[in-house]
Amino acid sequence: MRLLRTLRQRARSLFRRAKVDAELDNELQYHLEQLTRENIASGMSTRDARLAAQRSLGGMASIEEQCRDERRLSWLTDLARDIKYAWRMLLKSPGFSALAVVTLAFGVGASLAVYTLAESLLLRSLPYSSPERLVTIYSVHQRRGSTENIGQEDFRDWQAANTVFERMAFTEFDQKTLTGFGDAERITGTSISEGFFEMLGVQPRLGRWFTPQEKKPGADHVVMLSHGFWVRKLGARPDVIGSSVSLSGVPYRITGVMPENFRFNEGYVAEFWTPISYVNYGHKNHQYDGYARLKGGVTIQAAQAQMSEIARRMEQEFPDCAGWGVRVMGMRSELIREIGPVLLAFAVAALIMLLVACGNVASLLLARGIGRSREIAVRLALGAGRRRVVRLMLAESVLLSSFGAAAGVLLAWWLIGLAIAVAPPWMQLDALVSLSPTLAAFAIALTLATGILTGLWPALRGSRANLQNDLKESGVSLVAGRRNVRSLNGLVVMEIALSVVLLTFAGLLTKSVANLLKTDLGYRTDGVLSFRMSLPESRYKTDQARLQFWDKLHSQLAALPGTVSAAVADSVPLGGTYSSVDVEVEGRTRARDWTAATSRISTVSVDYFRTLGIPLHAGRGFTPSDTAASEPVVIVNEAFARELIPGENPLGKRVRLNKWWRIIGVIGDSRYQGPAQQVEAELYFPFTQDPWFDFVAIRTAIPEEGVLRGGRDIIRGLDPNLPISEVRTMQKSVDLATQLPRALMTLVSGFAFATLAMSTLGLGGVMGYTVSRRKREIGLRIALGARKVDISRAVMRNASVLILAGSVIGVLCAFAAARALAALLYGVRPHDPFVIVAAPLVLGITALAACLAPAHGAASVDPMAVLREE
Amino acid sequence: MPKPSDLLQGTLDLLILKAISREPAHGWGIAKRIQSLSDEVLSVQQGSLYPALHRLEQQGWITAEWKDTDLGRQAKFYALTREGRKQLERELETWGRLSSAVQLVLRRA
Repeated sequence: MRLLRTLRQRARSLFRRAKVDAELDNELQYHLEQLTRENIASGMSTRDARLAAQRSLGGMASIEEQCRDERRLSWLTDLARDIKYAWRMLLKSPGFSALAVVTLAFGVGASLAVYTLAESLLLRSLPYSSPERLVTIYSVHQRRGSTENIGQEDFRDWQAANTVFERMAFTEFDQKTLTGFGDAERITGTSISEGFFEMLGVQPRLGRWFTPQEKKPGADHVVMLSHGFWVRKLGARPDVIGSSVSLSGVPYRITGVMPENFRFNEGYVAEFWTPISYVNYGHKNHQYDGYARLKGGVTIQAAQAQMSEIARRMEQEFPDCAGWGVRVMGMRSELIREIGPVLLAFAVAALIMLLVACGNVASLLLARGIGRSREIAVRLALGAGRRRVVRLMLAESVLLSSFGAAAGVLLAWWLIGLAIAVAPPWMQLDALVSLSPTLAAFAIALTLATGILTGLWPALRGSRANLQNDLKESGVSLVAGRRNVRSLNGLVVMEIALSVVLLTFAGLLTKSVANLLKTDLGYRTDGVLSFRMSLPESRYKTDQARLQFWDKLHSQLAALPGTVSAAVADSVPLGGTYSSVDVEVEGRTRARDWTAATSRISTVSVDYFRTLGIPLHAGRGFTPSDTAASEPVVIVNEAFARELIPGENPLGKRVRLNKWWRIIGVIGDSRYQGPAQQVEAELYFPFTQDPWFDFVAIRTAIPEEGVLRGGRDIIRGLDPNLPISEVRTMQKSVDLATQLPRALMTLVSGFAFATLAMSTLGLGGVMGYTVSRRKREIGLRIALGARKVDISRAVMRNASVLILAGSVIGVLCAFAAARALAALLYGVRPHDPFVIVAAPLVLGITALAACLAPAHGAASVDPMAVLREE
Repeated sequence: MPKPSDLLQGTLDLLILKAISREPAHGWGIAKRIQSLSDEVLSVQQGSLYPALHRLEQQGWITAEWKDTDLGRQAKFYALTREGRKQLERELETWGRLSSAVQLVLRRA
């Protein structure tokens, strides 16, 4: 009842404003009449009575205003009026408005992009039920402190001993050759242990998961297909369940199709899933990715404590477990660890840009507000409340920030597109980015906050007008209000300080990328082409068959015009595969901990080192005469010799893996996993003695593409069912490996220069404003004999003080904030002295240059013209 | 004479509600009534009376109606609503507690 009446009241106040206002007027008029009547009754003349009544009633307008305020809704109608008025004010100075909108667009756009990416990656990339209970399990190589893959035997023991996990599972990267759908194709998938999907808590789109029966060897030729595979290759037909696809020459029965939004962040996009059948590889084996779901109420710390205890027991029990621990890591925190540093750097840069944009627009508004003090004084004198004036000025800044945000959305859209392009493909970032209610709420809140942040201070300052002085002043005072100038200076100093921080960031990232790019990889990047190609075991059963195939392929590839040399290997640099084993060196005692002596291993054919440009430093290379019948031989790199055979000539020494191998050559070190990786021990087997066939590398004398076409024809001629994939030039592989740091550097540098431009423009603007306010003072000084040089020098000195103050604060802040970048830097410390000095220098020079115009303007003030204005 | 700002916060609302509790009155009448009932001690300034009336109306405690006065001119008469009456009781109770508490302090201190 009361609510209804209240609503009716308010609706009346809002929609029948004219009538309500008329009534209010009438009501007060009545009061005035009564008062007059009373005065007449007490003996005054009619005219005196009326005047006395009016005096005692006070400002009718102000009472009416207060009554309207009490009607509460006034803010809504006022708001409409404020916005209309603000719009007119903005149109009046289009240059100022455009500058402010563009400035705010930079700040708001970058922040929106960061928020969108963070929300997409952190909230939407683990689409499972209670993802906070999902963990990744690693083996920890305690001596190196590195996290490694886990082994089946370890897994089984952990599974039996723990009481913290509801379910555990492990997976392995897998590639198979798909035939029967046009050209043979190499496709990527995952082998999964029992309970993997159940652990994630997902349901198949079609069909069912594997049964325990289907995980046994012999019965395990069953497959789950990705939604994409099902749509692309099988036309999304629901009747495919139960039919077969041919993978690497073996028919696999389709048991189900995954849901469209299924994703699993494992560094690649899987198109199929097959079961892993149990094989006892022993405790030394580390080839699987381990995962688990915590029991409800169990914390990650508790799980880690129990697993560490189990691992300690296993170290005692099994010699092969010595030196190995376990790490349990929440999938979500792992995601944050992986993408967090990049997001953080991006977020800090965006925040700084936003703050500088706000500061810049605030100083513009402040400077204009000082110029408008007379207008505001008039408003106050006419009875506008201070609150009302503040609101009017806030309406202006919020209107500005709204236009800024609208333009910022475009920038954000572009930035997100850029992020999708440089993010690793397995992240499937484009599928994660979407408009959400929280994003919309964030955008609106950010816009309002920006508007208030920029407008509040100028509004509060501007509305604190001194009525008498401001109205009395005929024009501009002799000296600009000291307090106002001080506010402007404060803003400029803040902008400069923040710019120095961002320039430092940009400098550090640039230096880091430069270090990455000039790192000697140890192999050539130009004129080297590689692709992935495997020989299916179903058709190339014996070593002999594989050797023969390579002999044919090699002779034809080598004869191809433009080819310098060709090689086959089981891995190539940046090819994404990696294997390492423990090594025993002849004549040296083995540590109980087998991890004390490990090396990366690789199988390569005769011309591999020549093809990749890896130099032979001692001994000989492989030759065709190293065969299965001759003595097993290996080549090691210098890091191997340094670490595992220190102080001795490695040539002629024997090392034991599965059997004894004799070292016949030493090659130069290289960075197999890209420039950011440390050099590590490597050991190479000859293809002729250990024929693993996974990659082909070709060194070309002409552009790589020229050789590729001929190579494809040759392979098709030899075996039409052999697909090649991951065709890349070595330069392309290196570019991909450094793509993310390069993109981040470009972005942060872009932000830094935008911020630099804003703050120097801001400084120039403030100096220009101060000069224009002090024109009469300057004119007077010149008239009294000051030299022009002294005048411009004074302006520059003034600017230098601000720049110096900002730079000092900026350097101190940068010193503290640079630590946030530490995880992203390569070969440069966060407190790199060169960068720390260079950033304020760049800023100082640019900023001083921006002040030349106002300084010149001050010096060329014509004293006669100015003094005549009096 | 005390200025309206000397009135305790919220006291004006109480006085207005009380003043129209017997019969409706227009703004002038309310001011006069409060003045005469307080033996001319309290004078309600128009500057606070009308905003207060509009606030009380907005809150649904009083309702307004244009009626003829004895002098034949239209004036805006305010009357208590049911909620207004309840609010008056609440405010009287609060006021009673407050004033007796102040009394106590003044007597004992």
